[in-house]
Amino acid sequence: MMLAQAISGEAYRALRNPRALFWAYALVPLFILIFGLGIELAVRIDSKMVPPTIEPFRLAIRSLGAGGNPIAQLFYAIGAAALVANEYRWESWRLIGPRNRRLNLILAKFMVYLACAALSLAAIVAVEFFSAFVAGLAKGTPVAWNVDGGPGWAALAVAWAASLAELAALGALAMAGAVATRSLLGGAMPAFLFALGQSLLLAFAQPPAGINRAILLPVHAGDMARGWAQGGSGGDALAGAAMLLCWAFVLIATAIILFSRQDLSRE
Amino acid sequence: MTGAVIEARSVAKRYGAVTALAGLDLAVPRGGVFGLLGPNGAGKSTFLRIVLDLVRPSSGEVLLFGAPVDARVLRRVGGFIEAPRFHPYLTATQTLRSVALTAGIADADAEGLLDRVGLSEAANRRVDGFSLGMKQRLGIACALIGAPELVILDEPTNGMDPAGIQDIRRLVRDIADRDGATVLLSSHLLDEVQRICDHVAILDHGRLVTSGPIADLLGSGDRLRIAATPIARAIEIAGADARADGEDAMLAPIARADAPALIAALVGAGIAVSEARWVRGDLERLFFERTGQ
Repeated sequence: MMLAQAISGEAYRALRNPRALFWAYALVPLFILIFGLGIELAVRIDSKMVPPTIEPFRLAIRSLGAGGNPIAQLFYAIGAAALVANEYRWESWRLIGPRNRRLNLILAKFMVYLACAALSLAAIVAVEFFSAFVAGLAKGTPVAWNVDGGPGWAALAVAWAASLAELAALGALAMAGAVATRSLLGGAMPAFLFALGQSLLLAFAQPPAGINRAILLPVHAGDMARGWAQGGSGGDALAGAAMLLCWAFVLIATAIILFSRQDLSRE
Repeated sequence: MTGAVIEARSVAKRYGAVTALAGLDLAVPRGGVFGLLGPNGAGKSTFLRIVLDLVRPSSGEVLLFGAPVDARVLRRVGGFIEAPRFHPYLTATQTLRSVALTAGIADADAEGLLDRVGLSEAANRRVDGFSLGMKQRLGIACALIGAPELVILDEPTNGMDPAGIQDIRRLVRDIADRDGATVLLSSHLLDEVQRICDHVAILDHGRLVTSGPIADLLGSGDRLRIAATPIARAIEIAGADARADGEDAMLAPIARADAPALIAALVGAGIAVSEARWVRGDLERLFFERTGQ
């Protein structure tokens, strides 16, 4: 009950801060829309390699991989860290701190972040569908809404959930950092650098294969979880999703423990 | 200590090498306005932060309504510490609603609260444009959300003009008298505390130096100031409660009826008495006396 109240208060505040919502959650879908349309219309329209059909589900699932893109993750990390760090910056913990449990206050912020991230991912799917529709019109190519053998709504939902789990782990890390350092940079930068480091490691080094690799690298766990939607193994997908949830749980628990023991002596 | 809304038992708080509270024992009785006084660094704000669970004590415990401080018991408390802070992008009404939602009070009368603290006309203005005085008023409105039984106000008249100070003094009395809430008020303004408080406690160096009903503390504070030479011998004759007041005078807390006998005893002992007058008890004198400032 008290958690629902904390979420209600947090959502009320978050929805009244459109600038923060835009930078953290709307910019990535907007970027994908602009560049997606640009590529579809400016490049592929003149290409001799125009496919016979456009598969919006496959495009959307591929786009949801933005959840694992370090640049996109930077914006989501800023969004997560800002929810926490701004309370320190504005010294407003003293206003809401005595009104609910500290556990609930952090969980509420995490839930609101997840809701915003979920909507942002949904917006990515929507802009991909829109881009595919516009590209189909421009090229005179039929749009294939779930062609036989191709991915459909179920695969899209799995990819969406996998990307959300990946952003959950990222957001939890950003929030833990923001609590520990009481700052936005202290939350967002470690999360961004961690995401970048994982991508570089995956690209240039050869970390241990399989499940161990997933444990070390949430971004790989995200790829594994999304893999099923693109024809990969169901077992790997489950393992990847489980790893992501473990990462998220451990990191948000860390944030809660740190916050519960913290003196809000200036805030 | 039965019936105390706040009971502090040997509460200590250390920040590294700095001791903010050094074993504070204090009981705030139910009802009325309780003034918390002390010089800068006495530990007032630290104590209020501990009561509001913003800071955890290093040792000791605080009971609110007889129970340890936690989120549930804090639902009966409203308050703000030092200058109140807000989310700058919210309006005054939105600020109240957001705090009320977090506290589980869906039907908070934001307009009524703003009217009560004199902020009706600024209800839909963003808080980041507020003056310090307006923020203080909004902080008080936030503290009153949910009609709390205990209202904690830390320096509530800071940054206010004289008319605003009068408004807030009336409001503080009104909270105690009309709402029936206990108000714990921290202030540097001794005159303010003397005017509106029923009880007072003075802290110094993280400890309680005196506490009680203000009428008792001041009522028993009338003292006879005697300038005499040699003053050490005069203090000796006046008794253990007499204290030096400067280099050549003393303050003797005696009944008015005993004054002639004391003066006669001093003169009889060969002490030159050059002045004797009554000094009325006031909070300022009590404060400086007890804090040694």
